[in-house]
Amino acid sequence: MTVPSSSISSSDRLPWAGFIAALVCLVLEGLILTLQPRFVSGLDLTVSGKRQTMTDPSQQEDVLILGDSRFFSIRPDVVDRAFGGSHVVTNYTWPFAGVEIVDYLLEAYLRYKKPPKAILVGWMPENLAVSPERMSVASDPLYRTRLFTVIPAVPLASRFAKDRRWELLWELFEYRALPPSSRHRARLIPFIRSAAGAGPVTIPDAEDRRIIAAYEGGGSFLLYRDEVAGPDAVTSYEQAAGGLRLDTTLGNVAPFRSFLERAKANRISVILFNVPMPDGLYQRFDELGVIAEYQQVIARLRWEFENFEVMEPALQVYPDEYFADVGHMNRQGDEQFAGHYGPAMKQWLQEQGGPDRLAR
Amino acid sequence: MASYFFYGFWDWRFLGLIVFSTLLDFTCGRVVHGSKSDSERKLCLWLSIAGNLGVLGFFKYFNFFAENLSTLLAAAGFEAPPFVLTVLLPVGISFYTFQTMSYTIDIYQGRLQPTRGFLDFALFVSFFPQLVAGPIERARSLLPQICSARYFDRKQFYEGCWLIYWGLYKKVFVADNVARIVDKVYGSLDTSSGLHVLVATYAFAVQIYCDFSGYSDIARGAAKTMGFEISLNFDIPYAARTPQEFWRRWHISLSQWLRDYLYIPLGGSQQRSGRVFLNLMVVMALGGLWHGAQWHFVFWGIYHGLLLAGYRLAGAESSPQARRSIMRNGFAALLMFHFTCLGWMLFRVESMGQMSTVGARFFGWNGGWFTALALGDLYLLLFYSALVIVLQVFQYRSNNPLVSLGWKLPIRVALYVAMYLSLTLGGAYDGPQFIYFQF
Repeated sequence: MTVPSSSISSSDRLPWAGFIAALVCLVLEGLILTLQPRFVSGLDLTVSGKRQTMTDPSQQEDVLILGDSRFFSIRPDVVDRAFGGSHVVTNYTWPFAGVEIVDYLLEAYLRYKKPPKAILVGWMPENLAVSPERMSVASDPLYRTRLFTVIPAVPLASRFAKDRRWELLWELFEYRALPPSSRHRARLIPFIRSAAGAGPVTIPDAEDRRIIAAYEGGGSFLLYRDEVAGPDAVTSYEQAAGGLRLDTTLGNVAPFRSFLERAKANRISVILFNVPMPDGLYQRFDELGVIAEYQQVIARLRWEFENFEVMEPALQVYPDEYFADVGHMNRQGDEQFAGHYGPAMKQWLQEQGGPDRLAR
Repeated sequence: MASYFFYGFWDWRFLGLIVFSTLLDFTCGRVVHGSKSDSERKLCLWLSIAGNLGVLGFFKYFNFFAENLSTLLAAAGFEAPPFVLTVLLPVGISFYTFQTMSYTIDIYQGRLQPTRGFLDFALFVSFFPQLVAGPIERARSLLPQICSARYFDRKQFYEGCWLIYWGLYKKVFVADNVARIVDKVYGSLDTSSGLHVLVATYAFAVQIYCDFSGYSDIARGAAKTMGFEISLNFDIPYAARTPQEFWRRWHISLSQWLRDYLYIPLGGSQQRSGRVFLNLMVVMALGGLWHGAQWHFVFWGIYHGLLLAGYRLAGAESSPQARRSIMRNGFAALLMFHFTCLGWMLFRVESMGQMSTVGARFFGWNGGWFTALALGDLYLLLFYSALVIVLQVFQYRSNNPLVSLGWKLPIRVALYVAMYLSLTLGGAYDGPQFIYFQF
């Protein structure tokens, strides 16, 4: 085939087809953006609600609750009462929010708002002392995606640049550059099909409605689940994780230390708050030496940082039947825990001499 | 600098190889042209060939030959310790070594004057749009463009943008989606039916074409936007009616390189039948080996050599301009497509051992030839490749690869929007890298 020298009839003609097509695509993207609240998952919808609160300087908070999905149900009103009332408390916990995200989050938060008085941060031993490749932004795409969706792009990009994490900066650019049709396609296609009456899946589905209904003001979720983890839940969890082992490098301690330094520089008290863990997982972690390592790390950090306190140093262990899976409590566990943490926090704060004595 | 940055972004350590190749052929080219001594000219020519093939041989073929030698010695009763190098294969090495070698050979044969500008020559070797996966450009085509002044040409720029867009569509929407079918079936051959192997082989034919020609389109498009014209590498290859025509349409720059620098020097077609047959086998086997240091690529090359020879013996070779009825042309193209697909089986398998499993499955020796699942994948394949097929029919009929740029405005708008939505809603963003990067 000979390549013709000219395929456009007039070289002076502007590429109108390209312009018009680009315009049509822009309009379509705008339409998708407008319709977004109707098809994104219940979780994404509530996450975006939290993110908007985080960047709104008019809503100044006194106490923040940070952590991952295991802290969804910590209610700001209960914490407020424990702190003596009249405090603005927001639950900024996110699914798949590891230790690194909490540090990024505090840095971004301080760009928009004044420092809070205190931060309640919730961890389990595995956040700090299990398999370094787990729960890390560098190795787990889920954690990266969470970081990209939760933290506003500008502070995140400047942090990546400062830390010379060029690959993450590039990935953030790729993620942000995706048009809405592409970013939401997993939900958009079933939504279009269900809107046209042709899809086997209806969007929003029952789970979306359940999550939206469970979302409370102040960022907490009351997502009570009725399932009970089976007897082999720990084994399955370990297999799914590709094996659990003690993180002798303590890779996640560095970002936590950075978080504590940032809090200290801004005169913020950090209170560690251990969420209950199932007995089976506790036993397995104990065998691996994770529990002892975790407690040593926490003790060392307490010694290093005067703004860091631990509410209940002894880990709370609940029976396995209080859990829907190895990480998340079910309705029975949640009800037990809900009755515990408010009074426990109040009592602990009184023992410290009241909330105002926390920042030393 | 931009080209070096582009290549160094992958791995800066291998920039040294490009610099070596550039210095070698720039110097050899000048000596070959300037020297009056025939032995000196010959020496420089062989220095260029040995240098380029040495680099290629070391990085790409060392382990292949070492392993095979070790196996051969073991078979003869000698015990040789295995000696394997753990070196990374530099991206694009097969392309730029061939490109630089052709420069010196062309000067030696008096078909080209050497360039005086070292930077111009360095750009010719490392020109980023085609550096990592071709087309393998000839110096007499690209160097004059580099040396002369360029002006912005709006028409050329639009064509470039279209080619980039079309190439992206072929790669991200077609090739990478279709790759899932191929990988699924070829990854579980023991449980795949004969029909499923056939569908996966069709899918691979689409995948490799859209992957490689998609890259070539992007390369040509990127070059056009900067005012360069690089050669057409694919010309609707599955419309070929004979193996000879197929190689005029598939990876054209490599076929022409092999023809000009290997087949013709060996005597080409101007020999007795036996010698022509041997020439074809040598050239095609080496062409297969060029793709990768594995036996299944060599056998793929030999298979195509046999096809070329077989068509030649049967007198079925004809010039592409030969007039025949639509039915005969259609049948010939369909037959050739299936011969090509048989070859793709050899290309896609990971070893010759796997080829026997493919054969057993394909011919139904293990039973269970038909499965409904295979039909589902066939529909999926047709869905993903529909637009490419339709556009290629128009390209073929009009003999114009840019035919769509002349279509009426509403049709073009619809085409561009459809391509955009296909890419954003259905593109495979986690797809594999370009297949030819590994060569």
